[in-house]
Amino acid sequence: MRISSGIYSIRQGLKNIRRNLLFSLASVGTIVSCLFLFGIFYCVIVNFRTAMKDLENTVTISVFFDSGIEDSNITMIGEQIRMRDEVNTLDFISADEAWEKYARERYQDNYEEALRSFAGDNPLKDSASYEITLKDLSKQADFITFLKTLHGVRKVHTSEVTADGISALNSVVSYASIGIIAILLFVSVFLISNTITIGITVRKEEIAIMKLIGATNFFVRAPFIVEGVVLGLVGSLVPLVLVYYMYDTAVRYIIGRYSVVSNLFAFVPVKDIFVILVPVTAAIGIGLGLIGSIVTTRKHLKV
Amino acid sequence: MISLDHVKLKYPGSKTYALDDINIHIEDGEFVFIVGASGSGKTSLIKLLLKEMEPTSGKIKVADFDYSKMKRKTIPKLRRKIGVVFQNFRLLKDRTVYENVAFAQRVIETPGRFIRRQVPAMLTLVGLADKYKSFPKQLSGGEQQRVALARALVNHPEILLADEPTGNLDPKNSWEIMRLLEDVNKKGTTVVVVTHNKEIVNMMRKRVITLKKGEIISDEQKGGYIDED
Repeated sequence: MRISSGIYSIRQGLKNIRRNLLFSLASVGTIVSCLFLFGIFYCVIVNFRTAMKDLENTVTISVFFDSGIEDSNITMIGEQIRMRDEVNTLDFISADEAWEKYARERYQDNYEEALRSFAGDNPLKDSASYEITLKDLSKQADFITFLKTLHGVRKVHTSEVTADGISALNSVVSYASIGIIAILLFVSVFLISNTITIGITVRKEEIAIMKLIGATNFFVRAPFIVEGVVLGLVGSLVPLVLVYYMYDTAVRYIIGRYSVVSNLFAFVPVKDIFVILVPVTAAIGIGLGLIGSIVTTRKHLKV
Repeated sequence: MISLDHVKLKYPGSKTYALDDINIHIEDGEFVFIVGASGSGKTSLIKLLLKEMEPTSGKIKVADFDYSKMKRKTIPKLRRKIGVVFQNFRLLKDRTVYENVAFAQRVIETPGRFIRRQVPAMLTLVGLADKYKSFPKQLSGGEQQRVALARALVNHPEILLADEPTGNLDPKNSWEIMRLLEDVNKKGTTVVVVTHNKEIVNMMRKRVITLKKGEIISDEQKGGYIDED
Protein backbone atom coordinates (compact mmCIF):
# COMPACT_ATOMS: atom_id res chain seq x y z
CA MET A 1 0.00 0.00 0.00
CA ARG A 2 1.28 3.47 -0.93
CA ILE A 3 1.92 6.05 1.80
CA SER A 4 -0.75 8.32 0.29
CA SER A 5 -3.24 5.41 0.33
CA GLY A 6 -2.30 4.69 3.94
CA ILE A 7 -2.96 8.32 4.87
CA TYR A 8 -6.24 8.16 2.92
CA SER A 9 -7.30 5.01 4.83
CA ILE A 10 -6.43 6.59 8.18
CA ARG A 11 -8.41 9.72 7.30
CA GLN A 12 -11.39 7.68 6.16
CA GLY A 13 -11.19 5.55 9.31
CA LEU A 14 -11.23 8.66 11.51
CA LYS A 15 -14.04 10.08 9.38
CA ASN A 16 -16.05 6.88 9.97
CA ILE A 17 -15.66 7.39 13.71
CA ARG A 18 -16.88 11.00 13.41
CA ARG A 19 -19.80 10.03 11.19
CA ASN A 20 -21.02 7.35 13.62
CA LEU A 21 -20.01 9.27 16.69
CA LEU A 22 -22.72 7.84 18.94
CA PHE A 23 -22.00 4.23 18.06
CA SER A 24 -18.26 4.89 18.23
CA LEU A 25 -18.71 6.34 21.70
CA ALA A 26 -20.79 3.32 22.70
CA SER A 27 -18.03 0.99 21.51
CA VAL A 28 -15.30 2.98 23.23
CA GLY A 29 -17.48 3.10 26.36
CA THR A 30 -17.79 -0.67 26.43
CA ILE A 31 -14.08 -1.21 25.87
CA VAL A 32 -13.36 1.38 28.55
CA SER A 33 -15.65 -0.40 31.04
CA CYS A 34 -14.25 -3.77 30.10
CA LEU A 35 -10.60 -2.75 30.35
CA PHE A 36 -11.30 -0.61 33.42
CA LEU A 37 -12.64 -3.70 35.18
CA PHE A 38 -9.72 -5.66 33.79
CA GLY A 39 -7.33 -3.06 35.26
CA ILE A 40 -9.05 -3.13 38.63
CA PHE A 41 -9.10 -6.94 38.67
CA TYR A 42 -5.46 -6.99 37.70
CA CYS A 43 -4.51 -4.61 40.54
CA VAL A 44 -6.56 -6.64 43.00
CA ILE A 45 -5.15 -9.96 41.78
CA VAL A 46 -1.55 -8.75 41.82
CA ASN A 47 -1.97 -7.44 45.36
CA PHE A 48 -3.90 -10.53 46.41
CA ARG A 49 -1.26 -12.86 44.97
CA THR A 50 1.52 -10.87 46.63
CA ALA A 51 -0.36 -11.05 49.90
CA MET A 52 -0.89 -14.77 49.40
CA LYS A 53 2.82 -15.23 48.76
CA ASP A 54 3.62 -13.31 51.93
CA LEU A 55 1.06 -15.37 53.80
CA GLU A 56 2.38 -18.61 52.36
CA ASN A 57 5.77 -17.68 53.67
CA THR A 58 4.32 -17.39 57.16
CA VAL A 59 2.74 -20.85 56.99
CA THR A 60 5.58 -22.96 58.27
CA ILE A 61 6.03 -26.68 58.74
CA SER A 62 8.00 -27.68 61.84
CA VAL A 63 9.92 -30.97 61.89
CA PHE A 64 10.90 -32.33 65.32
CA PHE A 65 13.42 -35.09 65.88
CA ASP A 66 13.63 -38.30 67.96
CA SER A 67 14.97 -37.84 71.46
CA GLY A 68 18.74 -38.16 71.69
CA ILE A 69 19.31 -37.97 67.93
CA GLU A 70 22.87 -37.28 66.79
CA ASP A 71 23.66 -33.87 65.23
CA SER A 72 24.97 -35.62 62.11
CA ASN A 73 21.57 -37.27 61.64
CA ILE A 74 19.81 -33.89 61.97
CA THR A 75 22.13 -32.49 59.29
CA MET A 76 21.36 -35.47 57.04
CA ILE A 77 17.60 -34.95 57.46
CA GLY A 78 18.13 -31.26 56.59
CA GLU A 79 19.98 -32.18 53.38
CA GLN A 80 17.24 -34.59 52.33
CA ILE A 81 14.64 -31.86 52.84
CA ARG A 82 16.69 -29.21 51.05
CA MET A 83 16.87 -31.40 47.92
CA ARG A 84 13.09 -31.24 47.45
CA ASP A 85 11.90 -28.81 44.74
CA GLU A 86 8.89 -27.52 46.69
CA VAL A 87 11.03 -26.14 49.54
CA ASN A 88 11.21 -22.36 49.68
CA THR A 89 13.13 -21.80 52.94
CA LEU A 90 14.66 -24.18 55.45
CA ASP A 91 15.84 -22.93 58.85
CA PHE A 92 17.25 -24.91 61.73
CA ILE A 93 15.99 -23.88 65.17
CA SER A 94 18.13 -25.30 67.97
CA ALA A 95 16.59 -26.31 71.32
CA ASP A 96 18.14 -23.22 72.95
CA GLU A 97 16.75 -20.91 70.26
CA ALA A 98 13.34 -22.55 70.64
CA TRP A 99 13.38 -22.02 74.41
CA GLU A 100 14.49 -18.39 74.04
CA LYS A 101 11.78 -17.72 71.46
CA TYR A 102 9.16 -19.34 73.70
CA ALA A 103 10.36 -17.41 76.75
CA ARG A 104 10.20 -14.12 74.87
CA GLU A 105 6.63 -14.79 73.73
CA ARG A 106 5.47 -16.27 77.07
CA TYR A 107 7.15 -14.00 79.63
CA GLN A 108 7.69 -10.91 77.47
CA ASP A 109 9.39 -8.31 79.72
CA ASN A 110 10.46 -10.93 82.27
CA TYR A 111 11.91 -13.35 79.77
CA GLU A 112 15.53 -12.73 80.78
CA GLU A 113 14.70 -13.74 84.34
CA ALA A 114 13.02 -16.90 83.06
CA LEU A 115 16.08 -17.76 80.99
CA ARG A 116 18.34 -17.23 84.05
CA SER A 117 16.18 -19.38 86.32
CA PHE A 118 16.34 -22.32 83.90
CA ALA A 119 20.02 -21.79 83.07
CA GLY A 120 21.65 -25.08 82.07
CA ASP A 121 18.32 -26.89 82.22
CA ASN A 122 16.45 -26.18 78.96
CA PRO A 123 12.81 -27.26 79.50
CA LEU A 124 12.48 -27.63 75.70
CA LYS A 125 15.62 -29.70 75.23
CA ASP A 126 13.94 -32.02 72.73
CA SER A 127 12.49 -29.14 70.72
CA ALA A 128 15.18 -28.59 68.11
CA SER A 129 13.45 -28.42 64.72
CA TYR A 130 13.57 -27.49 61.08
CA GLU A 131 11.15 -24.73 60.07
CA ILE A 132 10.17 -25.02 56.42
CA THR A 133 8.16 -22.77 54.08
CA LEU A 134 6.97 -24.06 50.70
CA LYS A 135 6.93 -22.40 47.27
CA ASP A 136 3.41 -23.71 46.63
CA LEU A 137 1.11 -24.46 49.52
CA SER A 138 -1.06 -26.83 47.48
CA LYS A 139 1.80 -29.36 47.66
CA GLN A 140 1.89 -29.32 51.46
CA ALA A 141 0.02 -32.64 52.02
CA ASP A 142 2.39 -34.66 49.80
CA PHE A 143 5.39 -32.95 51.35
CA ILE A 144 4.27 -33.83 54.86
CA THR A 145 3.84 -37.49 53.87
CA PHE A 146 7.44 -37.39 52.66
CA LEU A 147 8.67 -35.79 55.90
CA LYS A 148 6.99 -38.48 58.00
CA THR A 149 8.90 -41.20 56.15
CA LEU A 150 12.27 -39.71 57.12
CA HIS A 151 14.22 -41.73 59.70
CA GLY A 152 14.73 -39.75 62.94
CA VAL A 153 11.66 -37.53 62.55
CA ARG A 154 9.43 -37.64 65.62
CA LYS A 155 6.73 -35.17 64.73
CA VAL A 156 5.68 -32.91 61.88
CA HIS A 157 3.68 -29.87 62.92
CA THR A 158 1.57 -27.96 60.38
CA SER A 159 -1.42 -25.70 60.08
CA GLU A 160 -3.17 -27.65 57.31
CA VAL A 161 -6.48 -25.80 57.41
CA THR A 162 -4.82 -22.46 56.73
CA ALA A 163 -2.80 -23.87 53.85
CA ASP A 164 -5.82 -25.46 52.15
CA GLY A 165 -7.91 -22.33 52.67
CA ILE A 166 -5.32 -20.05 51.11
CA SER A 167 -4.79 -22.33 48.11
CA ALA A 168 -8.51 -22.68 47.47
CA LEU A 169 -9.18 -18.95 47.80
CA ASN A 170 -6.30 -18.18 45.46
CA SER A 171 -7.72 -20.52 42.80
CA VAL A 172 -11.31 -19.25 43.14
CA VAL A 173 -10.26 -15.61 42.79
CA SER A 174 -8.07 -16.38 39.76
CA TYR A 175 -10.70 -18.43 37.89
CA ALA A 176 -13.54 -16.01 38.69
CA SER A 177 -11.48 -13.07 37.42
CA ILE A 178 -10.50 -14.86 34.22
CA GLY A 179 -14.15 -15.80 33.62
CA ILE A 180 -15.52 -12.27 34.13
CA ILE A 181 -12.80 -10.69 31.99
CA ALA A 182 -13.36 -13.24 29.19
CA ILE A 183 -17.10 -12.41 29.10
CA LEU A 184 -16.37 -8.67 29.02
CA LEU A 185 -13.85 -9.10 26.20
CA PHE A 186 -16.39 -11.06 24.17
CA VAL A 187 -18.98 -8.30 24.65
CA SER A 188 -16.42 -5.72 23.50
CA VAL A 189 -15.63 -7.60 20.28
CA PHE A 190 -19.36 -7.91 19.62
CA LEU A 191 -19.93 -4.17 20.09
CA ILE A 192 -16.97 -3.15 17.92
CA SER A 193 -18.24 -5.51 15.25
CA ASN A 194 -21.68 -3.89 15.53
CA THR A 195 -20.26 -0.38 15.19
CA ILE A 196 -18.27 -1.35 12.13
CA THR A 197 -21.28 -3.08 10.58
CA ILE A 198 -23.20 0.19 10.97
CA GLY A 199 -20.26 2.05 9.38
CA ILE A 200 -20.32 -0.37 6.47
CA THR A 201 -24.08 0.02 6.07
CA VAL A 202 -23.80 3.82 6.08
CA ARG A 203 -21.08 3.66 3.42
CA LYS A 204 -22.70 0.86 1.41
CA GLU A 205 -22.98 2.93 -1.78
CA GLU A 206 -19.43 4.23 -1.53
CA ILE A 207 -18.11 0.69 -1.00
CA ALA A 208 -20.12 -0.62 -3.97
CA ILE A 209 -18.65 2.13 -6.19
CA MET A 210 -15.15 1.43 -4.87
CA LYS A 211 -15.49 -2.23 -5.78
CA LEU A 212 -16.82 -1.46 -9.27
CA ILE A 213 -13.97 0.95 -9.93
CA GLY A 214 -11.44 -1.73 -9.01
CA ALA A 215 -10.46 -1.16 -5.39
CA THR A 216 -8.74 -4.15 -3.81
CA ASN A 217 -10.28 -5.90 -0.82
CA PHE A 218 -7.51 -4.55 1.37
CA PHE A 219 -8.11 -0.96 0.25
CA VAL A 220 -11.84 -1.27 0.94
CA ARG A 221 -11.26 -2.86 4.34
CA ALA A 222 -8.36 -0.68 5.52
CA PRO A 223 -10.44 2.32 6.78
CA PHE A 224 -12.64 -0.01 8.85
CA ILE A 225 -9.62 -1.73 10.32
CA VAL A 226 -8.18 1.71 11.18
CA GLU A 227 -11.53 2.53 12.79
CA GLY A 228 -11.48 -0.65 14.90
CA VAL A 229 -7.87 -0.14 16.00
CA VAL A 230 -8.47 3.52 16.94
CA LEU A 231 -11.59 2.57 18.94
CA GLY A 232 -9.62 -0.16 20.70
CA LEU A 233 -6.66 2.08 21.40
CA VAL A 234 -8.73 4.96 22.79
CA GLY A 235 -10.75 2.41 24.75
CA SER A 236 -7.58 1.11 26.36
CA LEU A 237 -5.88 4.42 27.15
CA VAL A 238 -8.81 5.91 29.09
CA PRO A 239 -9.07 3.07 31.64
CA LEU A 240 -5.29 3.01 32.08
CA VAL A 241 -5.31 6.65 33.13
CA LEU A 242 -8.36 6.09 35.36
CA VAL A 243 -6.95 2.97 37.04
CA TYR A 244 -3.57 4.64 37.56
CA TYR A 245 -5.02 7.58 39.45
CA MET A 246 -7.58 5.51 41.32
CA TYR A 247 -5.03 2.93 42.49
CA ASP A 248 -2.45 5.53 43.43
CA THR A 249 -5.00 7.62 45.32
CA ALA A 250 -6.55 4.59 47.04
CA VAL A 251 -3.19 3.24 48.20
CA ARG A 252 -2.07 6.66 49.47
CA TYR A 253 -5.40 7.14 51.27
CA ILE A 254 -5.39 3.70 52.92
CA ILE A 255 -1.75 3.96 54.00
CA GLY A 256 -2.27 7.49 55.30
CA ARG A 257 -5.56 6.83 57.04
CA TYR A 258 -5.23 3.23 58.25
CA SER A 259 -1.64 2.65 59.33
CA VAL A 260 -2.68 -0.77 60.73
CA VAL A 261 -3.41 -1.99 57.22
CA SER A 262 -0.04 -0.90 55.93
CA ASN A 263 1.62 -2.81 58.79
CA LEU A 264 -0.25 -5.98 57.87
CA PHE A 265 -0.25 -5.64 54.12
CA ALA A 266 2.31 -4.24 51.65
CA PHE A 267 0.63 -2.77 48.53
CA VAL A 268 2.39 -3.46 45.24
CA PRO A 269 3.82 -0.13 43.97
CA VAL A 270 1.79 1.45 41.15
CA LYS A 271 4.84 1.47 38.83
CA ASP A 272 5.34 -2.28 39.24
CA ILE A 273 1.72 -2.88 38.27
CA PHE A 274 1.71 -0.53 35.28
CA VAL A 275 4.92 -1.88 33.76
CA ILE A 276 2.82 -4.90 32.84
CA LEU A 277 -0.68 -3.42 32.78
CA VAL A 278 0.06 -0.70 30.13
CA PRO A 279 1.34 -2.98 27.34
CA VAL A 280 -1.16 -5.73 28.16
CA THR A 281 -4.18 -3.38 28.19
CA ALA A 282 -3.07 -1.56 25.02
CA ALA A 283 -2.50 -4.90 23.29
CA ILE A 284 -5.94 -6.15 24.38
CA GLY A 285 -7.60 -2.90 23.20
CA ILE A 286 -5.88 -2.95 19.81
CA GLY A 287 -6.46 -6.69 19.55
CA LEU A 288 -10.19 -6.27 20.24
CA GLY A 289 -10.38 -3.58 17.55
CA LEU A 290 -8.48 -5.70 15.06
CA ILE A 291 -10.52 -8.84 15.68
CA GLY A 292 -13.83 -6.95 15.61
CA SER A 293 -12.99 -5.10 12.39
CA ILE A 294 -11.36 -7.99 10.53
CA VAL A 295 -14.18 -10.39 11.32
CA THR A 296 -16.82 -7.83 10.30
CA THR A 297 -15.14 -6.68 7.08
CA ARG A 298 -14.49 -10.29 6.03
CA LYS A 299 -18.16 -11.01 6.52
CA HIS A 300 -19.53 -7.94 4.73
CA LEU A 301 -16.93 -6.78 2.23
CA LYS A 302 -16.36 -9.51 -0.29
CA VAL A 303 -15.50 -8.25 -3.79
CA MET B 1 -11.96 -7.57 -26.48
CA ILE B 2 -15.42 -8.62 -25.20
CA SER B 3 -16.49 -12.15 -25.96
CA LEU B 4 -19.43 -14.17 -24.67
CA ASP B 5 -19.78 -17.75 -25.92
CA HIS B 6 -22.97 -19.69 -25.31
CA VAL B 7 -23.52 -17.84 -22.05
CA LYS B 8 -26.53 -18.87 -19.98
CA LEU B 9 -27.65 -17.37 -16.70
CA LYS B 10 -30.34 -18.67 -14.40
CA TYR B 11 -31.08 -17.01 -11.05
CA PRO B 12 -31.45 -19.33 -8.06
CA GLY B 13 -35.06 -20.47 -7.71
CA SER B 14 -35.99 -19.35 -11.22
CA LYS B 15 -37.23 -21.85 -13.82
CA THR B 16 -36.31 -19.76 -16.86
CA TYR B 17 -33.00 -18.39 -18.03
CA ALA B 18 -32.38 -14.65 -17.57
CA LEU B 19 -29.87 -14.99 -20.41
CA ASP B 20 -30.09 -17.89 -22.82
CA ASP B 21 -27.26 -18.92 -25.12
CA ILE B 22 -25.81 -15.45 -25.59
CA ASN B 23 -23.04 -15.09 -28.17
CA ILE B 24 -21.56 -11.62 -28.46
CA HIS B 25 -18.17 -10.59 -29.86
CA ILE B 26 -17.18 -6.94 -29.62
CA GLU B 27 -13.87 -5.80 -31.10
CA ASP B 28 -11.54 -3.13 -29.69
CA GLY B 29 -12.79 0.38 -30.39
CA GLU B 30 -16.36 -0.60 -31.30
CA PHE B 31 -19.44 1.40 -30.24
CA VAL B 32 -22.33 -0.94 -29.45
CA PHE B 33 -25.87 -0.40 -28.23
CA ILE B 34 -27.57 -3.17 -26.29
CA VAL B 35 -31.30 -2.61 -26.35
CA GLY B 36 -34.40 -4.39 -25.13
CA ALA B 37 -37.44 -3.97 -22.93
CA SER B 38 -37.40 -4.32 -19.15
CA GLY B 39 -36.65 -7.91 -18.17
CA SER B 40 -34.89 -8.64 -21.46
CA GLY B 41 -31.60 -9.35 -19.62
CA LYS B 42 -29.68 -6.10 -20.22
CA THR B 43 -28.81 -5.53 -16.55
CA SER B 44 -27.90 -9.20 -16.06
CA LEU B 45 -25.51 -8.86 -18.99
CA ILE B 46 -23.82 -5.82 -17.42
CA LYS B 47 -23.49 -7.67 -14.10
CA LEU B 48 -21.84 -10.60 -15.86
CA LEU B 49 -19.40 -8.30 -17.68
CA LEU B 50 -18.46 -6.62 -14.37
CA LYS B 51 -18.08 -10.08 -12.80
CA GLU B 52 -20.65 -9.27 -10.15
CA MET B 53 -22.24 -12.61 -11.04
CA GLU B 54 -21.10 -15.92 -12.49
CA PRO B 55 -22.80 -17.39 -15.58
CA THR B 56 -24.60 -20.70 -15.18
CA SER B 57 -22.70 -21.93 -18.24
CA GLY B 58 -20.68 -20.57 -21.14
CA LYS B 59 -17.45 -18.60 -21.48
CA ILE B 60 -16.80 -14.88 -20.97
CA LYS B 61 -13.59 -13.09 -21.93
CA VAL B 62 -13.06 -9.36 -21.41
CA ALA B 63 -9.79 -7.47 -21.98
CA ASP B 64 -7.77 -10.69 -22.01
CA PHE B 65 -9.32 -11.90 -18.77
CA ASP B 66 -10.87 -15.35 -19.04
CA TYR B 67 -13.58 -15.24 -16.38
CA SER B 68 -13.68 -19.01 -15.90
CA LYS B 69 -9.98 -19.07 -14.94
CA MET B 70 -9.89 -15.87 -12.87
CA LYS B 71 -9.16 -15.87 -9.15
CA ARG B 72 -11.14 -13.54 -6.88
CA LYS B 73 -8.14 -11.38 -6.14
CA THR B 74 -7.70 -10.51 -9.83
CA ILE B 75 -11.23 -9.08 -10.10
CA PRO B 76 -10.03 -5.54 -9.16
CA LYS B 77 -7.48 -5.69 -12.01
CA LEU B 78 -10.26 -6.54 -14.47
CA ARG B 79 -12.52 -3.79 -13.19
CA ARG B 80 -9.77 -1.20 -13.60
CA LYS B 81 -10.02 -1.86 -17.33
CA ILE B 82 -13.77 -1.19 -17.36
CA GLY B 83 -15.30 2.23 -16.71
CA VAL B 84 -18.97 2.23 -15.67
CA VAL B 85 -21.70 4.88 -15.92
CA PHE B 86 -25.10 4.33 -14.31
CA GLN B 87 -28.57 5.73 -14.96
CA ASN B 88 -28.78 7.18 -11.45
CA PHE B 89 -25.19 8.56 -11.63
CA ARG B 90 -24.17 6.99 -8.27
CA LEU B 91 -22.10 9.99 -7.15
CA LEU B 92 -20.97 10.43 -3.56
CA LYS B 93 -23.27 13.15 -2.29
CA ASP B 94 -20.97 14.34 0.50
CA ARG B 95 -18.06 15.04 -1.87
CA THR B 96 -17.40 17.73 -4.42
CA VAL B 97 -17.18 17.19 -8.16
CA TYR B 98 -13.38 17.14 -7.91
CA GLU B 99 -13.42 14.65 -5.02
CA ASN B 100 -15.87 12.36 -6.81
CA VAL B 101 -13.57 12.08 -9.82
CA ALA B 102 -10.40 11.91 -7.70
CA PHE B 103 -12.06 9.12 -5.68
CA ALA B 104 -11.83 6.80 -8.69
CA GLN B 105 -8.09 7.34 -8.81
CA ARG B 106 -7.57 7.14 -5.07
CA VAL B 107 -9.18 3.72 -4.79
CA ILE B 108 -6.76 2.28 -7.33
CA GLU B 109 -3.91 3.97 -5.45
CA THR B 110 -2.87 6.48 -8.13
CA PRO B 111 -0.11 8.78 -6.82
CA GLY B 112 -1.36 12.20 -5.69
CA ARG B 113 0.65 14.15 -8.30
CA PHE B 114 -1.16 12.26 -11.10
CA ILE B 115 -4.53 12.83 -9.47
CA ARG B 116 -3.88 16.58 -9.26
CA ARG B 117 -3.04 16.64 -12.98
CA GLN B 118 -5.57 14.21 -14.44
CA VAL B 119 -8.74 15.19 -12.57
CA PRO B 120 -8.83 18.83 -13.82
CA ALA B 121 -8.03 17.58 -17.35
CA MET B 122 -10.92 15.14 -17.23
CA LEU B 123 -13.30 17.79 -15.85
CA THR B 124 -12.30 20.08 -18.72
CA LEU B 125 -13.05 17.26 -21.18
CA VAL B 126 -16.61 16.88 -19.85
CA GLY B 127 -17.08 20.68 -19.60
CA LEU B 128 -17.22 20.98 -15.83
CA ALA B 129 -13.85 22.58 -15.06
CA ASP B 130 -15.53 25.58 -13.43
CA LYS B 131 -17.78 23.44 -11.21
CA TYR B 132 -15.09 21.38 -9.50
CA LYS B 133 -16.03 22.74 -6.06
CA SER B 134 -19.76 22.04 -6.43
CA PHE B 135 -21.56 19.21 -4.69
CA PRO B 136 -23.77 16.81 -6.74
CA LYS B 137 -27.02 18.30 -5.40
CA GLN B 138 -25.94 21.68 -6.81
CA LEU B 139 -25.74 20.23 -10.35
CA SER B 140 -28.35 19.42 -12.99
CA GLY B 141 -28.97 15.79 -14.04
CA GLY B 142 -26.88 16.26 -17.18
CA GLU B 143 -24.01 17.75 -15.21
CA GLN B 144 -24.15 14.92 -12.67
CA GLN B 145 -23.97 12.38 -15.49
CA ARG B 146 -20.96 14.20 -16.92
CA VAL B 147 -19.25 13.93 -13.50
CA ALA B 148 -20.05 10.21 -13.50
CA LEU B 149 -18.57 9.96 -16.99
CA ALA B 150 -15.42 11.81 -15.89
CA ARG B 151 -15.11 9.40 -12.96
CA ALA B 152 -15.51 6.41 -15.30
CA LEU B 153 -12.91 7.74 -17.75
CA VAL B 154 -10.27 9.19 -15.45
CA ASN B 155 -8.47 5.84 -15.10
CA HIS B 156 -8.35 5.47 -18.90
CA PRO B 157 -10.33 2.23 -19.14
CA GLU B 158 -10.19 0.05 -22.26
CA ILE B 159 -13.96 -0.41 -22.11
CA LEU B 160 -16.75 1.93 -21.07
CA LEU B 161 -20.03 0.35 -19.97
CA ALA B 162 -22.92 2.80 -19.80
CA ASP B 163 -26.08 1.43 -18.20
CA GLU B 164 -29.02 3.63 -19.31
CA PRO B 165 -26.81 6.77 -19.24
CA THR B 166 -29.63 8.99 -20.55
CA GLY B 167 -32.43 7.37 -18.54
CA ASN B 168 -32.83 10.33 -16.19
CA LEU B 169 -31.97 13.10 -18.63
CA ASP B 170 -33.91 15.44 -20.94
CA PRO B 171 -33.25 15.18 -24.72
CA LYS B 172 -30.73 18.04 -24.79
CA ASN B 173 -28.61 16.59 -21.97
CA SER B 174 -29.03 13.08 -23.41
CA TRP B 175 -27.48 14.19 -26.69
CA GLU B 176 -24.63 15.94 -24.89
CA ILE B 177 -23.79 12.74 -23.04
CA MET B 178 -24.01 10.68 -26.23
CA ARG B 179 -21.70 13.13 -28.01
CA LEU B 180 -19.19 12.73 -25.17
CA LEU B 181 -19.44 8.94 -25.43
CA GLU B 182 -18.85 9.16 -29.17
CA ASP B 183 -15.76 11.36 -28.59
CA VAL B 184 -14.41 8.86 -26.07
CA ASN B 185 -15.00 6.06 -28.59
CA LYS B 186 -13.17 7.99 -31.31
CA LYS B 187 -10.12 8.12 -29.01
CA GLY B 188 -10.06 4.31 -28.95
CA THR B 189 -12.20 3.25 -25.98
CA THR B 190 -14.68 0.47 -26.62
CA VAL B 191 -18.12 1.78 -25.65
CA VAL B 192 -21.08 -0.42 -24.76
CA VAL B 193 -24.32 1.47 -24.08
CA VAL B 194 -27.32 -0.30 -22.61
CA THR B 195 -30.40 1.79 -23.38
CA HIS B 196 -34.02 1.86 -24.43
CA ASN B 197 -33.75 5.38 -25.88
CA LYS B 198 -35.21 4.70 -29.31
CA GLU B 199 -34.43 8.11 -30.78
CA ILE B 200 -30.75 8.06 -29.90
CA VAL B 201 -30.25 4.48 -31.13
CA ASN B 202 -31.95 5.23 -34.42
CA MET B 203 -30.07 8.51 -34.97
CA MET B 204 -26.56 7.30 -34.16
CA ARG B 205 -26.55 4.32 -36.58
CA LYS B 206 -24.15 2.16 -34.55
CA ARG B 207 -24.08 -1.59 -33.99
CA VAL B 208 -27.25 -2.60 -32.14
CA ILE B 209 -27.75 -5.87 -30.26
CA THR B 210 -31.39 -6.47 -29.32
CA LEU B 211 -32.34 -8.72 -26.43
CA LYS B 212 -35.75 -10.21 -25.80
CA LYS B 213 -36.54 -12.44 -22.82
CA GLY B 214 -32.87 -13.28 -22.38
CA GLU B 215 -32.15 -14.12 -26.01
CA ILE B 216 -30.48 -12.13 -28.80
CA ILE B 217 -33.07 -11.53 -31.46
CA SER B 218 -30.96 -9.21 -33.59
CA ASP B 219 -27.34 -8.05 -33.96
CA GLU B 220 -26.93 -5.44 -36.71
CA GLN B 221 -24.13 -3.11 -37.77
CA LYS B 222 -25.59 0.41 -38.23
CA GLY B 223 -28.82 -0.95 -36.84
CA GLY B 224 -31.90 0.64 -35.40
CA TYR B 225 -34.20 0.15 -32.46
CA ILE B 226 -36.46 -2.85 -32.97
CA ASP B 227 -39.87 -2.23 -31.52
CA GLU B 228 -40.98 -5.46 -29.89
CA ASP B 229 -44.61 -4.58 -30.41
